[in-house]
Amino acid sequence: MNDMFKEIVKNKQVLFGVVVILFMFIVALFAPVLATHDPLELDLSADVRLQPPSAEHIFGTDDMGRDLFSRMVYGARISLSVGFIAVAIMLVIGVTLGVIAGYYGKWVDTLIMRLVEIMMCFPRFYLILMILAFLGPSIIYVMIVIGLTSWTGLTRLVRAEFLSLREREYAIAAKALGASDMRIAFRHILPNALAPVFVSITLSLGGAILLESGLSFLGLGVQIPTPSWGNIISTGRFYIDSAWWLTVIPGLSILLTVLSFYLVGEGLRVILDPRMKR
Amino acid sequence: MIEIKNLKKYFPVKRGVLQRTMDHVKAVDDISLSVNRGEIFGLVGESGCGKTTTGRLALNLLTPDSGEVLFEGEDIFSMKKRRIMELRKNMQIIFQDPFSSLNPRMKVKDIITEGLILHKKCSASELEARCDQALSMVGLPVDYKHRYPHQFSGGERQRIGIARAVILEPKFIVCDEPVSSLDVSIQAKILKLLKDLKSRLGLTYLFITHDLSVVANLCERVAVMYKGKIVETGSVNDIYTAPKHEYTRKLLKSIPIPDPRARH
Ligand SMILES: Nc1ncnc2c1ncn2[C@@H]1O[C@H](COP(=O)(O)OP(=O)(O)O)[C@@H](O)[C@H]1O
Ligand SMILES: [Mg+2]
Repeated sequence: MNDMFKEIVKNKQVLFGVVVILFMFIVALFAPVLATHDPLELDLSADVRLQPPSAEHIFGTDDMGRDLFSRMVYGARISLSVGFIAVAIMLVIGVTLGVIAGYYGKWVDTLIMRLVEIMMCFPRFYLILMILAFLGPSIIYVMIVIGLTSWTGLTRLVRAEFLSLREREYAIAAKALGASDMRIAFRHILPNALAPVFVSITLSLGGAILLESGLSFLGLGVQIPTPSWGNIISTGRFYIDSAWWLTVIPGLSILLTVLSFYLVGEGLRVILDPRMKR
Repeated sequence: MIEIKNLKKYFPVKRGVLQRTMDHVKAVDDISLSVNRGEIFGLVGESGCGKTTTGRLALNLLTPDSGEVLFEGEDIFSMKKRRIMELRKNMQIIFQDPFSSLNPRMKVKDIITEGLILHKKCSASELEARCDQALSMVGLPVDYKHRYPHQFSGGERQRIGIARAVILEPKFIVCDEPVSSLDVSIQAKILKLLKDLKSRLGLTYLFITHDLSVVANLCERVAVMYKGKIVETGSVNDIYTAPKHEYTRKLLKSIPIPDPRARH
């Protein structure tokens, strides 16, 4: 673990990613402290609406006269929690099915892999749009639907790792000692399959945050007045000529956060992989 | 002690988009042999002839397509779960590759004592003591137990694997080419360790190798395996002096080994 810490510090891209992610985390965590205004408070007077960044409103105000900085800070909470909850759902389903398919093989494997293939036949984004259009927009649905539609890649990954790791001699040694299938799967194989899972988690977090922004932008995700980066841009686009801050600031935040998760994911791939092959 | 009767194991070969079974590899094709209590029985043959598969079948780590394996007179493939656990205590395996045979994420102590944890209700201090005992039995310093496998050389790792196999005090061990991937200088030391452990613990070995010189040194009886079948069985002396099968003669010619009679 110590070695890994050193490698992360040495790898500039990963370090950058980690710092940005930590920063976003702290912002989300301390949103009530950091926010300078109530993110929902309206003021439609002409001298408050669509004001550029100033000392009073450091990121300016939106079309309803709400403080953009405060909305961004609360929006970070939404974006990150959607990401984490969706990925947690993906993780539970993806790892469980991958372990079962990869360890037991035979018809269980065939069944699970067919399910994966069926899921993968649907273009994911349109599937999500369809489900949300049917259920109605809600942040809870967004989290669950993203989670329920994103596990297939992870299942295939974990399964492939298990298929190769269960033939390793230490797994056979455990069987010879009398270890149960469960023990072999969770104590001997899974810990050795975690590196690619970590990589997949970070990449999926970026993906889920981007997806949530996209859905909120389309009006199928987080509903106004609750702030999310996606719906802030969505309103901002009507004022793109007159109030650039309404699109540029949330746009950059999404870009920076998603990019950071990808940098960390790609970096982890490099850092963790050679170790596993040893 | 162990009797293998008409054992067969075919692996399906899958091809094409539909992964249909096109063919079978006859990894083990009607093999019979028996290993007596206290002996080292050699199983020799070139790579890919089915030695590993035979060894794993003998330990019920694979299920055969047909045939049986009797351990102390009892068929190991028709045993109940409880009985199989008993069996696991009595038969163990030592692997060829000391790098993939130890879990890289477990400490040496956890690797060695896993058998005890699975079979005996040991207290923490008992576990510690048994671990130390096993380490010194295989000639490793006791303080190795807190380290991870990647910190050791191939020879040391092989000793850790041996400690894991003997900690439950089994009766029968399949040694699957235990020295094939080690440096020649280390090979002799590991072979000596295996011999010492055998006499100290009263073990019986099925010793798998592709190296006839190792067999000459170690075994009383040998079976020569070729393409999934046993082509010849006999005492080491007989096989060396009067090989009956064509393949045995080829095998003998290909390896520069001293005449076993010249050893004495
Ligand atoms: N799990 C498996 N699936 C398919 N084929 C296998 C499997 N295990 C072994 N084989 C095949 O069976 C044959 C015998 O293998 P093995 O018993 O490992 O031989 P050896 O130990 O003598 O080198 C080889 O041709 C090998 O490719
Ligand atoms: Mg082999």
